[in-house]
Amino acid sequence: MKPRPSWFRKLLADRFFLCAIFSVAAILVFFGGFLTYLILEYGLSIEFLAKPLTVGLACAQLFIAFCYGNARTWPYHPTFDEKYREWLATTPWTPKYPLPKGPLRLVWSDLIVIGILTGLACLLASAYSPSIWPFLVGPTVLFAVAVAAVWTFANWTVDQDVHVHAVLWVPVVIAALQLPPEAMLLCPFVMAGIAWHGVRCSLQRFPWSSCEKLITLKKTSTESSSLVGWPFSNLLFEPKEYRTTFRRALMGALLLGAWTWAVLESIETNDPEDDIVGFMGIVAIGCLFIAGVRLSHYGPAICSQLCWGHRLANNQWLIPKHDVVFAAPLLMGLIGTVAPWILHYAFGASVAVACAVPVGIVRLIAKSMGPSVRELNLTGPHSAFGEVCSTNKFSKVSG
Amino acid sequence: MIQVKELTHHYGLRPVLIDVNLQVETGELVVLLGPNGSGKTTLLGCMAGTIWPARGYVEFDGVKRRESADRELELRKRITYLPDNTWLPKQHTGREFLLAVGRLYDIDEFRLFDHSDRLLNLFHLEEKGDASIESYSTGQRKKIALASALITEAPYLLLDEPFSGGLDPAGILAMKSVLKRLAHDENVTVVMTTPVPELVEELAHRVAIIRDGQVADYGSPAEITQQAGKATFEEALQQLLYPEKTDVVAAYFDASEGK
Repeated sequence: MKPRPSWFRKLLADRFFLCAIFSVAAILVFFGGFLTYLILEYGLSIEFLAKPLTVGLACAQLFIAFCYGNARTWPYHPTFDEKYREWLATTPWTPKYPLPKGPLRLVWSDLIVIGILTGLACLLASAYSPSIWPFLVGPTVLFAVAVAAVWTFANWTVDQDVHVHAVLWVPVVIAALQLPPEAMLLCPFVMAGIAWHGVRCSLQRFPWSSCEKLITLKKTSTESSSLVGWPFSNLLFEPKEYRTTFRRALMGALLLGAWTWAVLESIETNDPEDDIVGFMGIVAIGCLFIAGVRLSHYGPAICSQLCWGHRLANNQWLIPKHDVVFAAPLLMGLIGTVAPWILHYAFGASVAVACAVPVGIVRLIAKSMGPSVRELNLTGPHSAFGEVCSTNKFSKVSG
Repeated sequence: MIQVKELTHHYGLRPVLIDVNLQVETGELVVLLGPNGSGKTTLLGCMAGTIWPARGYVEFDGVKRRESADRELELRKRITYLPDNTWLPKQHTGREFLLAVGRLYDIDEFRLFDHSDRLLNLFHLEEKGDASIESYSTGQRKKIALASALITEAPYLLLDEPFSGGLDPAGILAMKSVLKRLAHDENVTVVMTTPVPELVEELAHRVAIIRDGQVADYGSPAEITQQAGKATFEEALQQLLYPEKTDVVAAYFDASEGK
C-alpha cells in the first residue's frame, strides 16, 4: 500500500473531515435532486428557488469550513490523544522539532482549502444572491471559530488559564469599545491568535504534569470509582476539589462579571423599570444556583448524622466546624438577592453594573471561600454511611 | 497502638456509647463482644473514622483521627475497615476488585498480583476469581470482601463480623488461621466483632465486653473467666452479657416441662 502524500497527512490526520464532506455532499445531492424534481414536476422557475438554494449552499459551506477547522486542530493536539501524548512524553521531543503526527500550526494548504471553499461559494452564490460578502467571509470566520474553540479547550485541559481567560475577554472588550457589528467578525481571529499563543506556551511545558483535567476526570470518574464501593470509596478517594486558588477565583469572577455586564449592556429595553425587576430576578436566581452548585460539592459531608435529633440530643444547636459549610452559600444568596438593588437605588449604579458586580463577587466567594471539600471531608465532624452512588452497579454484602 | 478516650455517641436521642475507654496494643487481636445493639459496630465505626463521636476521640499511634487533612489521609492508608455491609462491584471480577483495592493502598503492583492469587487460593476462589461478582454466592461474596481487607496489607484491621454472612467452614478456618498469624507474627493489630464465643477464646488476646454502650469488662479470656468466678469462658460471658438472665435456658426448659 502506497503511503499517503505529506500534504494529505498534514490536512487530514483522521477521517473526520472526509466524513463531514461526504455527509454534506450527500445532503447537497438530495437537496439538488429535490429542487430538480420541483422544477421538472411543477415547472417552478429557477429564480423562485434561488433563495432556498442560496441558504442551502451557505449552510453547507459554513458547515464544511467549521468541520475543517476541527479536523485541522483536534487530532494533532497531544492533549486529546492519550496514546500519542504518552508516547511523545517518552521521546526527546521539544517544541523546536515538528510534531510527529502533524503540525499544530496552520499551514499554506489550509489557505488553499478555505480559498477553494470561499471561491466555490462565491461563484455559485453570485448567480442567486444579491450580496456576495457573507459568502466571502463566512468560511474563513467559521474556520477561525472552530480553531479558536479547539485550541482554547486544549489550553483549558493543560491549565493554560491566562490564555483561556484572555480569549474569553475578547468579546467583552469588543462590546465595551462599542464597535460596529461587522467588527465582531474579527473576534474569532483575535481569539484564535491568543489561543495559538497559549498552545505554544503550553507546548513549552510538555510533558504536562498531573494537572491535566482530562486525565484526572477520566481516572477518577471511570476507573477507580466503578471498581470499589463502600467503605473504600468513602475513606480513600480524595473528593473532587471545588475551591481553587484566590488568583484563579479572581480571574473567573472578573470574567463572569464582565460577561454579565456586556450581555446586559447589549440588551435594548423599552420599559426600563419593568426590566430592572427581570434582570435582578435573573441575577438572584443565578447567584442562588451558583450557591447550590457549591453546596452540592460538599454534599457527602452534610449528612443525617448531624440532623436535628442529634443536635437536640447533644444540646448542640451549632456545630461550628461543620456548619461553616453553609456560610459561603448563605453569603452568596444574600449578595445575589440584595446587592443589585442597593447598588442601583442607593449608589445610582447602572443596571448592568449593579448586576455584574454581585455576580462577580458571588463567583469569587464560591470558588475561594473555605473550607475546601478535601479539608471538610478529612477533618469535618460528620459521619459517612454505607451507601454508594449507583447501587445498580454494586451489590451489598451483609453480615 | 489504638487509644479510645471517653467516647460517647448518640443516634438522635438514643445513647449508643457512653464514656468508652479502651487501649489496644500493637500486634494485639481484640474482640468486641456484646448483645445486639450494644454499640460494637458504632465503636468500630468510630475507630474506622466513618462515625464521628459526639464526644471523645480515637488515636492511632498518638495521631488523633481527623486532626489534620494530611495526617488523616495518611492514617486512612494504614487502617482497613471492613464493615458488615460492604459494597462490591457487580460487573467486575473478584480479582479486578482486589487489585483496585490494593492500588488504593499503594501496594506495589508485582506484590499485588501475587497477593491476589494467594488470597483467591486461600478462600478457594481460584475459578470464581475471574468471573463477575454478580455470579458469586453469598458466602463467596463474603470471602472476596474479606480478601479485599487482607490485600491492603494495612497494619490495622478493623473487622465487623468477619465470620458471619454465609462463610463456609473452610472460609472460617482460613480466616481464623490468617488472623492468628497476622497478629502473632506480622504485628498486625486486629479489632473485630464476632458473636461466636469458641472463636473468641481461641483467637483473642483480649476481649472487650460491651454492654449498654459501656465497657463492662476488658481482659484476656482467662482473666475474664477468673474475674467472673466461672469454670468456662462461655459461662463467664453469659454472666457478663446477661447478668440478670443467667438461668434463661433452664427457665425455658422448666417452663416447657411444667406444661
